[in-house]
Amino acid sequence: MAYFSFNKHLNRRLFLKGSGATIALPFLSAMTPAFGSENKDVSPRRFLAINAGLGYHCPYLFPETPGKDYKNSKYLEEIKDHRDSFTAISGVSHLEQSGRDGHTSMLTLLTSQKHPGLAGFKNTISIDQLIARKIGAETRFPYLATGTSSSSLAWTANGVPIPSDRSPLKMYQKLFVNGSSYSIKSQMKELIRGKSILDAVSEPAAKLNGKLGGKDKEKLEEYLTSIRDLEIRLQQNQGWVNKPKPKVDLVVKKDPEKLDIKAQLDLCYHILTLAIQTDSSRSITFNIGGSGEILNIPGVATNWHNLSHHGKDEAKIKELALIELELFKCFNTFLTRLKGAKEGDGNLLDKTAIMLTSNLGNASSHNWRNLPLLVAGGNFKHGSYVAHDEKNNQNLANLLCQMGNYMGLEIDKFGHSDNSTLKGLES
Amino acid sequence: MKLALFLMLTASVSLAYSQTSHKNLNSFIEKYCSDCHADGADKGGLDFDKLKYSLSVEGIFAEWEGIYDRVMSGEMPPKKKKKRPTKAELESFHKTLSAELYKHHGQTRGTVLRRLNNQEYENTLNDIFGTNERIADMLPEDGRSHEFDNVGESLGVSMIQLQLYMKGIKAIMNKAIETFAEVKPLAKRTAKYQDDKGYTKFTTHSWKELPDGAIVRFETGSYPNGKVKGTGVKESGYYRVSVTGYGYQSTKPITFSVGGLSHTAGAEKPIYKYFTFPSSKETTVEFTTFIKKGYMLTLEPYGIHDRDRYKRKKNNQTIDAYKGPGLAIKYVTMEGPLIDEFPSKGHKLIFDGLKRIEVPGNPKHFKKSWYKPGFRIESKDSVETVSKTLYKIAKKAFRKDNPDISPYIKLFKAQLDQGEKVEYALKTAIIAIFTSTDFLYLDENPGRLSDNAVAARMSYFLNRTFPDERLVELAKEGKLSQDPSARESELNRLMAKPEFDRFIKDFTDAWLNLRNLDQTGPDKNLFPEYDPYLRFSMPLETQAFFRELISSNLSVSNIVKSDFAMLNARLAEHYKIPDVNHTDIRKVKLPKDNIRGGFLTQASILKVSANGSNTSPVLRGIWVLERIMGTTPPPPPAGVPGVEPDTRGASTLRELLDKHRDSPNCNSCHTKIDPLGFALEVFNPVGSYRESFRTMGKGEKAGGLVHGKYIRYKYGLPVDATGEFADGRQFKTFIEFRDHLAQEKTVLARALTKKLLTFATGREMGFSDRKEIERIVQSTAKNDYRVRDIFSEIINSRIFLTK
Repeated sequence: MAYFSFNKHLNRRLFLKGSGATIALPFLSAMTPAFGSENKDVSPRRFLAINAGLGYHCPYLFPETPGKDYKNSKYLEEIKDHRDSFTAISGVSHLEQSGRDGHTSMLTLLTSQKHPGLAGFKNTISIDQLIARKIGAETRFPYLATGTSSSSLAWTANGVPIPSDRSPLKMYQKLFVNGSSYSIKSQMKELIRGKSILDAVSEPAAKLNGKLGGKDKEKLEEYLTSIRDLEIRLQQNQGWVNKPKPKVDLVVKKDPEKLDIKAQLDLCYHILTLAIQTDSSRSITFNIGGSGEILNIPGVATNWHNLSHHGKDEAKIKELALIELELFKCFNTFLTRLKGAKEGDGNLLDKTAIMLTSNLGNASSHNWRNLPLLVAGGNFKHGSYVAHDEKNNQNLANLLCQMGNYMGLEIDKFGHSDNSTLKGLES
Repeated sequence: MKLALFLMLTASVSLAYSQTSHKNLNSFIEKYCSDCHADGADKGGLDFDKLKYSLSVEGIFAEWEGIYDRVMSGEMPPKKKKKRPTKAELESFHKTLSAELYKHHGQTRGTVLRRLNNQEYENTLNDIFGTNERIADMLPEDGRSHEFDNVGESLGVSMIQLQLYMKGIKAIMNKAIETFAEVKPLAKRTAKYQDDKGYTKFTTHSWKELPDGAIVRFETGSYPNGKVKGTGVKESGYYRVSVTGYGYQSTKPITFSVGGLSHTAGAEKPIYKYFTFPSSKETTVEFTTFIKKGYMLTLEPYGIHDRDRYKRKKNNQTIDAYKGPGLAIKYVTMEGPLIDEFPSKGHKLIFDGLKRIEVPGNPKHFKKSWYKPGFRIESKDSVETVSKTLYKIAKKAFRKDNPDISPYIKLFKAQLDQGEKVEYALKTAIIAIFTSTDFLYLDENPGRLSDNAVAARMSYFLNRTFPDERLVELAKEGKLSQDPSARESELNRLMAKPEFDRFIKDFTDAWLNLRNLDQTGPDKNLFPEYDPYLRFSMPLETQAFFRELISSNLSVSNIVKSDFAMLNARLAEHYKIPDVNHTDIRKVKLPKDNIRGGFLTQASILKVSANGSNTSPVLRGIWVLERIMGTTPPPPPAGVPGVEPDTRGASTLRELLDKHRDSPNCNSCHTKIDPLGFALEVFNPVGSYRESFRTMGKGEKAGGLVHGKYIRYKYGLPVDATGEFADGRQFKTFIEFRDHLAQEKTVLARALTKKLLTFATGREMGFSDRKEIERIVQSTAKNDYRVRDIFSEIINSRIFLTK
């Protein structure tokens, strides 16, 4: 059988080289600056991707004419105070996104793989994770995957989704609330226990690895990698557990009502601002999932998902716009907060590259082309509306590559990119 | 010939198919395909100048497989082409290409090392430890291959998952380990609306308190809701619930739901069951249900509407003025959480043989609700005892007779050496067992499967959990891999177990996409008939229908056409079937020539294949083609925009599609897809029959009431459900369509066989499986392609028994 190699001789040395016990050493030295070193970059760069799973009504988003002197659209009017800090870009999409169903383009938004969910589809690492891999050890949380539902934009190198933190309360506790000394002690104990467990399960895994061939071996590699990753993470956490978490001027006692989208977004954005400000993480995703329920917004009487399938019905588009306006109002507050937070010579917005987009260009027909897209903050030249050809879209993967580079990755390609920068966005 | 010249000149550079080293293939392609698919032409996205002949690459293999199928089915070259391949040419094309495809697929077809998916993981832990924890929800969503979430190749593992696996087994052990040495008496509570002192503020206008103590409610699903405060649940588990009451001021029985309500933000609102109370006669209904921590019961009348309540308030009248029907509730009782055995299965599994002694806490606290004693294990030879325990657990967890537990004993000892207590160290070792590859991945060697592997396959296929004792016994005797009659009797036995319900649910969730039932909420104005009772009944109908196909061993033609349906009163009302009054789902004979019957007319199916406000013939067509007929259409070629629905009432989606279907690029697939969807246009997104589309725009007023509210939608453009199958057969109505389709028994049987095999083996079926699938289908042909027969053939097939 060709797919089975009778390779009974297990390359134990190779396996051990990659496995926990030994990898921790080089990693530890790489980690030292993170633990309490003083000469940290005073103003590090951050990356944030925000997605709205049900899209935005693009005619209300993009202005009529491109260039610097565009007239504000209905939605851009809401963030007009920040006009010089963002660029609106139309005519952008990923390649070949028709997939298992109309919403699967969310799986690939930050990975740029093709045909999500169809036979043979395998997702791969998302840009936020690639960034976290490079600079994650610098902060308490290598990345934050957050959202209003558990569906996430973040994917591991093996193409496994990383679930989003969806409770603002839990996010807040994770980031800013210190445990009692008892709970810190027991956390530490559990970390050490976790490491012993990983040691124990490495043995049968290695044995199995020796018996396998072909695709089975590739599959098991996912498990072996996970063990190594977790060992590193536990090691890393051990360093952080005893360090007090940053103190912030915000108290969260409970989660906002799920249907109150404004309260939810405002709180999430506030927490994310503080996470950025306290340098708790530098690679962040925030996924605003669509809701099958009726949101708590005056004038909205139909559920969001249904409104997104407006079928050009004007009454529905009007209702939909009430929701989307709320999204932009919250985004505006967020930008104002970031801009108001000084750091070094500048403010946090100047140090945070934000992409705000959706995996759907037109949710009414599940069209994944011509995505809504704003890039804000970072060191880019902002202030204009760039309109690319709506029939012949620019590749969104190019922007992901550009974002990676902004964050210090040395890559000239990401996923299916055909360039390392997105046309029209210059730094 | 231009192409030939081109081939010769650049053969070494790019010419993909010239590298096939099959002269006959090359010349066939050049002669019959190159006009449209080479030399600069790339119709339908196929360009032989670019298509490589690397069959080991998955995507390229799929393209060649598609080419083979289209030529062999006669679809290509297109009918209008005068130049046709001769029989001999076709034969030679078939022989060469199919042999190559067979060979390549055969080399890689085995199930890829498959881990338990989330549901299997949860079931297995619960079944080993005798718990009922819902831990699948906390794991990252399983990867899917098409509709299935148990295909090895698509199931990944990540660091976070490993962390959550550790958390999962910890949660299970916490639940399984008893907190007290003695069993606590089963708590039984009686609750009524009067327990909540505030109830009187409702009894003037909305509710009515009767002299016998009953509280009557008159309105479906409105404020104040029907929560019964005294029924709050502090511990998840199964509870025995009874409700006592009757129908008030009503000639007919009153229907009501018993559901759960939680005050946690965003919590789901489950409905456990529907019942009816007869008019005026005090009645008690009883049932057992799983209730999550933090929930209390809520009772809601169904189908009664107090349309006078605002008027009464204005006129300052009390509820006594109202003479309409109501639901009278006297009291509710609740017992639980129910305990199967004490101590629990898991508790015994972990501690049997160890001397575990209660260490009482402060006597002052004994009576406090939060009081829990401590425990200490007193065992001099703990290593020996624990080794036995770990061995017992690992036998179940690893699904094998002689598990290697040395790593876990080593771990246990190391923990003791670090000064940990026996119980903690033992738990650590158990966590490791349930985080190990031996537990998480199914052990299947290439080639003929071992007895253990067959036992696991059968068990996870039919009961969705680890093999039970009987299976293990048979595997030990070597019968499962060798003896078809042993497998057949196991099939019978496993199908009779309550765990077979899990198969019905998981398989229909995947195959028919029932898992997406709530992905869209129907537009309330357009589809006001959609209500919680209908939503509750929808999946039950489809699951019961599939179960009936199996247990009565009915022909596959029933998939699209049956003379019965599985109904309760709500579904029957929805389908306009008279004289069905029960709230539970039962088999009901349909009137002659009724449009219902078969999966395609079930509300659940019609809902999952539509979105909340409109239906698309394309999406429904793909649904039928993929799931019922077993053919997956390729994704649309790059650069073709989709059609945006327009519900304003000026044109139907079908008309919009017609404009786009002119393009030959789209046409070749859409002639196969769309007609299937056209036939289903007579059903709206929630499964009601329709002759015209509803609209909020221009149209004829519908008028009337639904659920006590005025209908706001209008009747718009008429539905056109006529169409033509790809083979030219025409249909004018849905009934004609389904009659045609019901005759295609081979197609239906082949599709179901493929889906079942995929689910049973955890891999996609491919080219080299075709022969065996055909054999299975043919061997069921002589007895009218019956569904239960297909199961028997499957567990005895080469595909099921090998990797």
